[in-house]
Amino acid sequence: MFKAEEKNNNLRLPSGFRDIFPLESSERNEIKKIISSVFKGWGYGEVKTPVMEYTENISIGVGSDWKNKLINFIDIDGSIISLRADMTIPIARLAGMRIKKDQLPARFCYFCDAFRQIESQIGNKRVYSQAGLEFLGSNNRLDADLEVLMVLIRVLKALGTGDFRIGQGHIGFINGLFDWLRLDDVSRRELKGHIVNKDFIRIEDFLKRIDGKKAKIFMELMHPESDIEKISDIVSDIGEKSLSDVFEYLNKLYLKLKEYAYDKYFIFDFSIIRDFDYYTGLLFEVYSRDITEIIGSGGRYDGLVKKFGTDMPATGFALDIDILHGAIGDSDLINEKKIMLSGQDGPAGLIGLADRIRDLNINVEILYDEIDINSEFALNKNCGLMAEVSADLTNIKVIDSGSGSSSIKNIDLFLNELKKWKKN
Amino acid sequence: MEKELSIAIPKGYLFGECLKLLKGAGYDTGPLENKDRRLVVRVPADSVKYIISRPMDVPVYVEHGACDIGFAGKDVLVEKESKVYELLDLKNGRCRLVLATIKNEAEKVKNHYQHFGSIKVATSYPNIARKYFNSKGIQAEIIKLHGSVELAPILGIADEILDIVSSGKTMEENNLAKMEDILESTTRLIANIASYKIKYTEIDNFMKNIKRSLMQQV
Repeated sequence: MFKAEEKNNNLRLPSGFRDIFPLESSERNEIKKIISSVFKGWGYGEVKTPVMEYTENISIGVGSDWKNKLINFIDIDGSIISLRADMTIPIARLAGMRIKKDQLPARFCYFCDAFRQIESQIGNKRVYSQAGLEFLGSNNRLDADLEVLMVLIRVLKALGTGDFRIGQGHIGFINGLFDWLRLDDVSRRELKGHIVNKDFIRIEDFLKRIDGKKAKIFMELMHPESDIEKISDIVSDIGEKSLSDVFEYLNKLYLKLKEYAYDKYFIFDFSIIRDFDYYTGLLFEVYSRDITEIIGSGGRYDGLVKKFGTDMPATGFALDIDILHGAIGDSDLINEKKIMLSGQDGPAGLIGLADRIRDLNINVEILYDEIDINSEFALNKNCGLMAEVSADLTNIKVIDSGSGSSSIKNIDLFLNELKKWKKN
Repeated sequence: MEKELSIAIPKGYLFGECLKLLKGAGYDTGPLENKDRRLVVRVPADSVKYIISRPMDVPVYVEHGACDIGFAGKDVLVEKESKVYELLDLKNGRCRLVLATIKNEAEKVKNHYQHFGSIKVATSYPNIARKYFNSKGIQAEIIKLHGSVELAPILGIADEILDIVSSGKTMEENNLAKMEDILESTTRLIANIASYKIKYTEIDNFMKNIKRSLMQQV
């Protein structure tokens, strides 16, 4: 199974990176195709940006603790460049640099890899395969956020993602609670840190030192809640204006989602704070039953694009293709059929026959080498049938890779039967 | 329908405490008390599945979602920098992480540091050790051991150790003396980030039961 250590030594990959083989790759492509058709349907156009940018530019958007999560290199002129850590910042950079006000609103989507340093000591990856979109420059924030959430749901449904939920939070909601607690900047940072770390024990201890009664109410709002009425009651009891304003926004958004019967997918969770600093409003995360990682996330980031030039509001999300792939499973993503074709008298004439099979929309892999093949070999390459053609190209020996059953038949009959085989 | 919760239970010194808590919370711990070597124990009547694992692995299982919730020491959570919800302080399994060296040799270690510019530290908590010495600006060579860390200074492979102490007896018996407290730890109830949202009702229920059990113990 493993090659000898000495031979294999300099053939390792940098940690956190991996190779991808045809089956996985084609399933991922299928996922991308489905996502892409939804994105396109809503008018989003794909953009591509360089895999590397100046570290200085990327750092504008990320929090201070993010700098050591970037993968950095030194350019020939001595400037430091980094692999992109997400696509939101490069698209914000692109929009700020190149999009004029009169071209707004703009809808962009992307399918690409983002790179981050491995954190701490958990066996993590350094490459994240993402699909996402950004909706830039619409001043109707409510409907822009609604659209982004709707596209997200449509994508998840189109992919057949089992039993998913979207956790919804809001930066302004947390800040409203901080206002209510009358916290100074230092305390805000401290409490926010505990919320990011999801350390309820510290959050509660911290709040109890300030106000025992308020602590209890605050903790009440840190739990996932699907009943908006409960939150509404708590918010009106609190009576803090900045908080009520944000809740009003969330409530409007919720009612609009309800019109499409999409409310059932949502849970409110104000403990959601993303690890990027640039979010300014709505925040959300996607979960699915049986997948215990976050499938995707997004939110509103007004103010980020301005750092690169033109000022514009913006909202969007990104999905993790690897995790999404796991959430969908390998069910019926790929519906292609493939045959392994070989000839008793070598490859002569095989290409012509292969083309006739390809005309039936069946893929053909021709074997040019004289090797003994078996079912395992064929199945490994996703070939459902192995077909060996007689020297005179009239008869064909067909072996079903799955069952192992074999038969010899006339080529025309074989081609006819293939049409049926393809269907099941 | 109630969804099954998978719960990571640490082996070793926390095991008994966890069992007591679960029992007090009304869960059937009989199957867990069986002295067989099963690592996965299902109790369908309670809709739970217990995964018995090494204490250091509990946060790993929970973070990666192999378990929805688990019982883990704060020391392990800090060491692993786990991204999980810390829901409840169970106030048991109390221990301290301390820096220690052979009795009456603190001066010698200091002297050694001046000559060689680096000290050797043996520990099962390399991440905490690295961060601690970095924050102090002290150069340290960290030697990771998987247990019986007290042996390291005695055998001469390390100048100091960073290890957990509960009663201090092991240290005393091995002629070691505390130099500094690093961290105080108790057992925490932790939850996987996605599970906490998807299975909130079940987890909240479990948490309430455990809370009740905690109150009874006091």
